Amino acid sequence: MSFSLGQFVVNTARFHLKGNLAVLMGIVIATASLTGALLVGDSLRGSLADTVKNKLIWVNEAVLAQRFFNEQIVVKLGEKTAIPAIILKASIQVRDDQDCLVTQISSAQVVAVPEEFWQDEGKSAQWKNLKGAWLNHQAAIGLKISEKQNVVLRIEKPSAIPRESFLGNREDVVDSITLEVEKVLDRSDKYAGFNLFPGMDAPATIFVPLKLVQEKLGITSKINSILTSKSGLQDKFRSLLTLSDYELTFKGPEDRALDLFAKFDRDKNQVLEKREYQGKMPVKLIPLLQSQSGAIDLESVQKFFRTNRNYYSIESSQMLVSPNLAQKADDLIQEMGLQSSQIMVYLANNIQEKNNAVPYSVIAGIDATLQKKLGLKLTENEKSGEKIWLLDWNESPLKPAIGDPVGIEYFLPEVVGKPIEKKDSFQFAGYIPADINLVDPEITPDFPGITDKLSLDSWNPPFPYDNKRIKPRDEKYWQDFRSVPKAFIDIDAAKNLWGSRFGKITSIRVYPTNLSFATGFAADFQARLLKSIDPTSVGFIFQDLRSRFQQSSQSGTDFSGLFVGFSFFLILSALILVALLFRLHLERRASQVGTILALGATQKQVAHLLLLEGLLVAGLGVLLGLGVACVYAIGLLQYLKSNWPDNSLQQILKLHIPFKTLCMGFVLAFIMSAVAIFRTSRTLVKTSVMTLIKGGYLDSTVLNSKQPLSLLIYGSLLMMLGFGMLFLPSSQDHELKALKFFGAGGLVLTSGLFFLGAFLRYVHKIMVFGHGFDGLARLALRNMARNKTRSLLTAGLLSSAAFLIIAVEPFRKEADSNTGKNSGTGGFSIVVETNIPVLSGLDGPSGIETILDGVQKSNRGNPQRARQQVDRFKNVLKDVQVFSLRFNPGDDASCLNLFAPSKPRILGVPNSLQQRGGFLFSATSEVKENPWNLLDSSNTFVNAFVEKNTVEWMIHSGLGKDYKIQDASGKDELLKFAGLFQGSVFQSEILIGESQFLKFYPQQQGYQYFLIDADSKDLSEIEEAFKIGLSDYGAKVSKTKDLVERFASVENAYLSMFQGLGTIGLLIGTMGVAAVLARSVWERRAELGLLSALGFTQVDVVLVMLLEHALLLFLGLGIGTLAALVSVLPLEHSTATRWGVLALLQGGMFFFGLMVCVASLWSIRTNNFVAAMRKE
Amino acid sequence: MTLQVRQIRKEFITRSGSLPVLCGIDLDLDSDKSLAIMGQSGSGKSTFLHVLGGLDKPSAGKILLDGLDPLAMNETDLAHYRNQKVGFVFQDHHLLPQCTVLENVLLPSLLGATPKVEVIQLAKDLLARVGLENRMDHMPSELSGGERQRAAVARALIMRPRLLLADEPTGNLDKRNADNIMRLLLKLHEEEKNILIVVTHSLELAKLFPRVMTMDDGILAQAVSSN
Repeated sequence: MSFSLGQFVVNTARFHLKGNLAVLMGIVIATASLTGALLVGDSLRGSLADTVKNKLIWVNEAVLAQRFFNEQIVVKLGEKTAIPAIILKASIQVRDDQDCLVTQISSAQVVAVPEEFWQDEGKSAQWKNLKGAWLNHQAAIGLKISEKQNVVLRIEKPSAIPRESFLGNREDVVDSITLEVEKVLDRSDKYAGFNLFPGMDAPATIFVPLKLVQEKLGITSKINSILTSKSGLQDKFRSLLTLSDYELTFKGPEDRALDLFAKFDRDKNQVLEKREYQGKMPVKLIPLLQSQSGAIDLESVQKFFRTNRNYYSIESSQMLVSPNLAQKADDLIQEMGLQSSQIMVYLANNIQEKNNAVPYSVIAGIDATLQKKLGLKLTENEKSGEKIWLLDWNESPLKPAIGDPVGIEYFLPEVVGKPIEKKDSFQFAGYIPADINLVDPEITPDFPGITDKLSLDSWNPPFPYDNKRIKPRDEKYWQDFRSVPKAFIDIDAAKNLWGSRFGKITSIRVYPTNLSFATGFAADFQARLLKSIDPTSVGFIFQDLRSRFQQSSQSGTDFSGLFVGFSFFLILSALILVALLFRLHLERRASQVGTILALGATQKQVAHLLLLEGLLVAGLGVLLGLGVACVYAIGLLQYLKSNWPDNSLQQILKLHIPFKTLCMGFVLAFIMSAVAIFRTSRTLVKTSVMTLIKGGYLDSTVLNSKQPLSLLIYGSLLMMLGFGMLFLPSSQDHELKALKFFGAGGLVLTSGLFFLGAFLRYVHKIMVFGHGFDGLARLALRNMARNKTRSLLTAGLLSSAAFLIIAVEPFRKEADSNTGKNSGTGGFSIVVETNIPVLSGLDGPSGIETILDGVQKSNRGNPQRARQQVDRFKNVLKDVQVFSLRFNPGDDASCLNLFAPSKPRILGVPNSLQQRGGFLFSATSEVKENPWNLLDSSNTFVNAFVEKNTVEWMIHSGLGKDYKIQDASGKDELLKFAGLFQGSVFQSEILIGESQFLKFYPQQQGYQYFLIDADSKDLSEIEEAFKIGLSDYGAKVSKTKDLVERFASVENAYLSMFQGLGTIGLLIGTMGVAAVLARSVWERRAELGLLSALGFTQVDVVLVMLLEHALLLFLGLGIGTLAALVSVLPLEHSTATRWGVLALLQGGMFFFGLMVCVASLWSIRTNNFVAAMRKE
Repeated sequence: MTLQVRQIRKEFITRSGSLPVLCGIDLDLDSDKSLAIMGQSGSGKSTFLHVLGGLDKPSAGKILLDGLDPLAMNETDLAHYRNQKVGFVFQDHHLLPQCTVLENVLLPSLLGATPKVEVIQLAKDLLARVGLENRMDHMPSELSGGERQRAAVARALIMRPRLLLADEPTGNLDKRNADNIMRLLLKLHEEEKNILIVVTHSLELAKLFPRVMTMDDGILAQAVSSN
């Protein structure tokens, strides 16, 4: 029979099966802790990646523009996989027979697509002739409806002219589309989760045929999105964009002639009949356009324009040419060496000279070039900015002399709430002949409701208009000259007065350098202008959604790092347990090891044998541990899911087991276990052979080298270092904070263990004498000091677990019971978010009126109920104070969203809120009485506020750090975090000042975020009033307290889990104590027998053992607790810290450990120590 | 009589049936008397000693020490009896390795009520009497085998027991040390006026005792001659 080394190792391992099983158990725990933590991270990331697949279905890239553009471009792309679409946010309502609101989803996704969107033949066929809509499962549940019922979509009406500009339409904001639900896509349907924006939950979605939405919104052939599965279409797409996609027109003389015919030539015979143009064309212009025959034909009109109006005009369908496009055009004009004029046309409510006035007159700001063309001259000393020229029309009542003051009354160019009228005075500089050949009416862009009206009286402008002020002479002027300006001022003055964030000019005229434009000029100019415009500035870019989503799903919080970090002490505990169990296991075999050494084996050979056996056990343990890790990870995920504040995680979170992670777990756990085993076996074989043969301890030979004094010195140094870390300059950098936290804690914990080491050496010198408890306690202390390494390992095991449990607790969040002004709620009770902007905001009495008006509209068919509700809400709303904030949509940056926010939501804070102040700040860059004033600070960066947790965990930045966002034109803008909120309602967004917000996002209209300060006793009523009153705007109403609690509950879910890990660590620690105790009893049987022989009762014996181990428990827990308390000293102490619960938990753990000891000792009470003694 | 032993029987139940170890032992000893018991291994000497010391219970019989019946005592009283009335010296010294020599001697006093100072002085006296006055602060591992056993003797006497039992106290010692220990035990017995019962294999050492008995198959009998 052969007997190999391998066989020897296997046989030995089998012989010492019980001991090896204990070690194996420790390794299983260590492996499961480590790999389980990694798997949790993988599962979170993997689940998010799965969500990406479910959200995007077949879409890889998409153009998601913030404006509508021509659908034709998709055809021109010539790519089958490119699908035109309209994707919007809207509210979906279910209304009863009396047109009263029944249920509503405030923010749903409208997906208007053609049949090609559905890659499933059945669906595609059903879609073809669909007249209704399909809902996804979430929408149907939210609305509590099923198929064949009607829903009403409330969508913001498209408006080319910005609503907050003077000429914007502010009355008719919401469009309604009633649709029958023809199908509900159930949860398992792959299209049900379709969403082009990263987020945890599948939004409520309504799918509508594209043509239907285009028709209902009156935007035939317009879309705002293109979806495609193909990549690389960007360049082709860019080449297909035209100026009209940027809302620009570039028209020369022929084009304008054609426009005229397009407008009036109803019978399309290229001749304008009197009946076609009468009343619509300036009377004074007609003779100029007529040919010699008296007819107005296309040829003669074109000739007239070529001769008398030979310029190209750049205009915008938004009335104002946006500043960046105007700049591009200007740059190109300079580059091409062209002559040009900038024009700003505005409407004066009144032009007054002494007691004479002219109402509702077009007034134009013109630059020097045009001034020269009109023959206007100023002396060198005169400033054009103060001058005004008036058109010298016959019936004009204005007869100023040169230098006389002329007043102009006008509405301010940006309107928030009601238009504000302003008056300015100019110095009369001269008359301009009323020659329509000289001053052409096309200086004024077309504006529906004004330029298309037959008379002044019939104007229907979007501003307060009093047609009683119109006199016959004014009507006469309208007939003769229509939109020819009655007054002219300098362009710079006009820009100052009427320029706004939407633009400062209404048109740019480009003149030929010689008498005529070169052939191909228009095409060349347009091509060059288009080339210079960055399509991304208006969202015209194919975004690689799949990559972006995948990046967002991977680059958020480092879950693996987080879980491994917080499992660190658990892994450490498990490794200490491995070392402890292996040590106990080897100690039992000390005499055998001694025998092998005595037989001539070298220390190295024996160490190798022990290591080999240990590695065999480690390998098996790690393999088994990987299986347990999966179960452990399932448990952790389940815990996280059940503690998440909503069911979004419940739906997406699934266990993912990447092979790579298992390999990593195997290698790491194996190496760590091997190191623990190697160190222990090396220590054993270094013990003298005779000591080993006698079954002696390692400590007497290994650990006595250090004296208590040196240990005290080392411990004190570590303690000082630990405390020193607390005094490092405070930082908002969460990595530095984590370093301080774990560094200080770890150092104090280690110093505690050094002190314990010194104490064990000290108690070695305390004399064991006395009687009663005193004597027994001294004996117990001496026993504890007997095997110092074992005692230290046990204490280390307990202290690391206790550290985690205590240290995590102060991070626990609870909605601050203080709901005052300086709390997380800022003293506000309700937060409202709307889907459609409320243009004038909701501040003040007019805001309340808006809500009450909305309440009435919600009950359209039931006036009685409307009245009742209005009366009821009027009463509760009277003392309500509302602050309206501007809002730029983006990714939810709060911890509720596990995707990394690439474009966070931005709020624009109005001055009123800045002046009011409030909210709880964790830190600010400067100490100010009212920190909100920091938002006004003007420096190279824009100051911003953000929630502390958001900046640390989601945005990965900190106080005083820069953060890059993109403005509406896609330009990078730098923000500097000047203030961090603590436990506030603002966890999903970044706050900047309103003025800065409007610079970044000039196209954002109105207000969508509202903070409501209301009496808490009427809260439910007020909440209902806002819900009903703003239902058409798609209002989501939340109590601030609920919101804060929701955010806190996510954090608490993590913390509870980490504390759970600590508790497992503590259980492992207690198991370690039990193992040590069992070993102590076993190896000290003879000693216990002697004590019995000396007259110790069983109670005395148990008491001595219990005291020894209870003290170890107490010291271990105490060191961990102390270290944890020290490490949390510099933190802001949460009001939610459950010190009582912690004390109870620690007490409970101590008691539990004690009970484990008692149980172990109880099991040995029947042992015959005397027999054991005799055996020895 | 100070120690009266009547009809002590002890049987062990084994797989092959009942195995008698002590077969009705009777013994009377006055205070200040000493006795050496000889016998072959497995004859029941140690078992008898353990029964006398309250470490083991007989199957039948009666023991009275100064009128106290340890066999009728509960566990607590029996522990007290062992602590106060009996002193043990084992073949192995059984000194606690974590305690000094002095502390080991003081161990039984941890349960007693003697004032600390007095008991420490007594322990030091005892150590001086056993010749370890210079070794009292040493650890057991720093002592020789004879010294360890002398320390064990001092420990056995710290509570001034009425009955001093020594189970092969010299079994692990060389001849010279064995002789010294035995003489020490007798000397201390004379000084303390207690009852000393020693189990030994050595006829030579047994001869030092005025009375020698033999144990043979559980039967205690008077030796033929003390010489």
